[in-house]
Amino acid sequence: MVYKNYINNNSAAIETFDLSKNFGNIAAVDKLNLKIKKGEIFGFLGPNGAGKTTTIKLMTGLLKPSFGTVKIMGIDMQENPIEAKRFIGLIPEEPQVYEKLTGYEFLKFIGNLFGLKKDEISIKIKELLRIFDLTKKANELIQSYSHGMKQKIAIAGALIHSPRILFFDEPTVGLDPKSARIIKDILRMRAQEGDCVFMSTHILEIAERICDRVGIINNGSLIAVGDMDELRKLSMEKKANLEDIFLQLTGGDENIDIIKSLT
Amino acid sequence: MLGLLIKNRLKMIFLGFKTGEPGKRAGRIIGVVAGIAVFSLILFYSIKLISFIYNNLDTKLADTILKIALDYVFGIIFIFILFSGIATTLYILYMSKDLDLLLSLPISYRTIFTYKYVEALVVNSYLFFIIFLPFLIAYGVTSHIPFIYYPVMLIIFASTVSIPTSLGVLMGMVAARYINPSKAREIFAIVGGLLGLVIWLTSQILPRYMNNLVPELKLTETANIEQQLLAIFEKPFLKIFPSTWSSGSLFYIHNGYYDRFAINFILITVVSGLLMFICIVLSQKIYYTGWSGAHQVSSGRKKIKAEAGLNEVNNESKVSSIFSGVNYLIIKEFKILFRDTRRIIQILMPIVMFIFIFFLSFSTHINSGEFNFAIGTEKLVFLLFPMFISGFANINISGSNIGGEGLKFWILKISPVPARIILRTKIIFSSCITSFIGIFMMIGFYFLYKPGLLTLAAGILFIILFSWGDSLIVTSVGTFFPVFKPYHQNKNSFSFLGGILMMVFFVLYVAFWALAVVGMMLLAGFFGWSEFITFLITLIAVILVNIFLYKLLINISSRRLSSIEWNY
Repeated sequence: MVYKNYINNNSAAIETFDLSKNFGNIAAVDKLNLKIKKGEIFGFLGPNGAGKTTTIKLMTGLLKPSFGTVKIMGIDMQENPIEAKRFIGLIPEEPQVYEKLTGYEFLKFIGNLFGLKKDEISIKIKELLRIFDLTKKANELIQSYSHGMKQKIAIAGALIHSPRILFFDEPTVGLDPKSARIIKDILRMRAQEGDCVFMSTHILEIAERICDRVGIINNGSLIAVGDMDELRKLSMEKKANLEDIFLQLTGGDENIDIIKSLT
Repeated sequence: MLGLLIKNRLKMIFLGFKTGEPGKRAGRIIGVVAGIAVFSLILFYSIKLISFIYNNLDTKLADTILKIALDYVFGIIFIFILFSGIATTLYILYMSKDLDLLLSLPISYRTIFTYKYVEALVVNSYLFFIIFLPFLIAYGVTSHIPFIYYPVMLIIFASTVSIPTSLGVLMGMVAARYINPSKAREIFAIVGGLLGLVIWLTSQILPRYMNNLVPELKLTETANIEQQLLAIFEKPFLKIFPSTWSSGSLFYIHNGYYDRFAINFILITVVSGLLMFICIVLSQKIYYTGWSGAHQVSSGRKKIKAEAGLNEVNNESKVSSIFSGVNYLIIKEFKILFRDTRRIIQILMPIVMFIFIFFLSFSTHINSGEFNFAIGTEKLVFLLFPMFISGFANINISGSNIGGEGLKFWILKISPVPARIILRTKIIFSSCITSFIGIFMMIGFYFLYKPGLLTLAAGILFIILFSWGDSLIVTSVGTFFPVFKPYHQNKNSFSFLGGILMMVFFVLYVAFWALAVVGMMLLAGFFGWSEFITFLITLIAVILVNIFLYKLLINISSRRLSSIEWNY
């Protein structure tokens, strides 16, 4: 395919250089430098409003950086957005999909958008609907789906073209335990096949259990990055879990007094 | 408490100007400035026009003209809100996003629904406020009448808007009682359509009856200008609407007939107040008792027949695509449009309204010679009226091409499909729909005027070209002023300023076509060209202009589309 010409095999899956985004005078993301390898599951953590979703939007081309660059498989998202987008799949926090299409039609549409062949689309759809237990609902309009089912169809849409990089914004919100487990299994499988997963989450246990590395962002700045051992070193507590480290780094510990006074 | 809610809403609007992204703030400010500019322009020219009428015509004739104008102003407001306001009103009353929050607060249901009713009134009327209020002010200013005219005028204006709003809510609530909540959205739209049909049928029957009652209005061979004007424009159908009380009130207070004013004023305000009261009381009771299923619509479920689905997996058609690279986008557009009855009715309503006004106002006079254009009037109407109608419908269709994606726009934004292809597809889609509307209209007119098969063929070709150019223009404007997340679910998917620009460009484009068609016909007469040669030259001219527009606008708007940031 044409886009193979753009791939730099030695490049990281995602690379950001001083990536910044300002909304008026507020820096939502401030000089973010990250390098995420192929085959890596990267957890992106931070308090509400820290800049997680904005970072994902910058990386996927939904927002334009105020400064800095994003490279996807070595391709500059600003310079070659169409080529870079071929490699990515996004599952946003809110599953906003075409509700007047059936689940089947939606997946077919996404497959077509990403240039898959008809036979390939059919096989993929069948497989994804089976995995997410949506086969019986495939012919119904998405507007009749529950929130969790909409989330599943959005995930299926993001997976249909087998993207090399998957962006998940809060992947398990609204999913039943079975589907959440499926998602975790898919993430591991994709990583084993050499794909990269970039996920933001509030559920620290998931991040601790399945992520190879974790980045913590606060007020738009990356304050820590590394695997669990590296983060523990940073927090200077050998037995600390991710929750302890997260609260220590983001200042959550200070809130304990406030909570006590309220109760 | 009602005051607090309204104050909070106003505060939210003002905060929209002070905070948020600079681009959006600028858009809002430009929108307000444009609104003020339009208001001022209409006021200025209305004063000039009304002064001209009073200074140059006999007072009786001037009064007749202005009474007719007032009838039309209030009639149009009434009809338009009746046709288009049902869905808007029901969404605001039952389905707006803040309703759950409000209902969970310690505020009485009556206060909440009164607040929502006021909101519906404002949403339904703000456009008319900008377009027609200057005329009503000018009507007072030019005659130097007492100040009391202005507050009375505002009360009458609000009353005129509130009656169709209330009627819409009442009918919608009854409809929601007897239908499956999941289909309520579509049914509300159909109710609007049926209502239009009832009005149309009434208007067809009533004029005949009323003409018999008022024989002096009939046109005679020796009729003077005033009688002619009355015969052409004073349509008895307008008398069936309460809007006639509104125009009567203003006309009589303006001319000092206070007894007649009092009767009309009392009628319009009492009926409006009564309907408003019934509406607010019923809407809260109905919501509380669950009698109407309107509030359940958003969680409704809908199944469709398995015409696609998994069977397709095994029976996938191998037909190659007609529009390589864009066919799936077009299929998606058609599927979504035809499954959204509400949107279809929204598109059809203005068309029905224009046909309705056309047949009641002008159709019977085209043959009788009141309008004497240099070329065949029938042929002109045959060619231009369908263009005008399809172009008007196009504002809704093409204008929503980008903004209509709503919160799903991220799907296209993240896909590796170039903005140019997305735009091209959207333009093909909207051109197809508007061409169909125009051709359908043209065939209807063909049976009315029978201009010949060759003229029909030429007309169809013109409609297709016009639809293409118009879709291109309106889609481009819509790309610059999209609204992806409107406050209300069925609010326009383009900004106020975008809407004004679409109207302006649409009028300019229609004017260009009118000039092209009329100009070529005049030139043909001058040079003695045959009809075929005239047609060919016109065709080449408009194709060239369309190609130029395509090259220019597709470049500009695809750049704009690529640069849209998605932060929802």
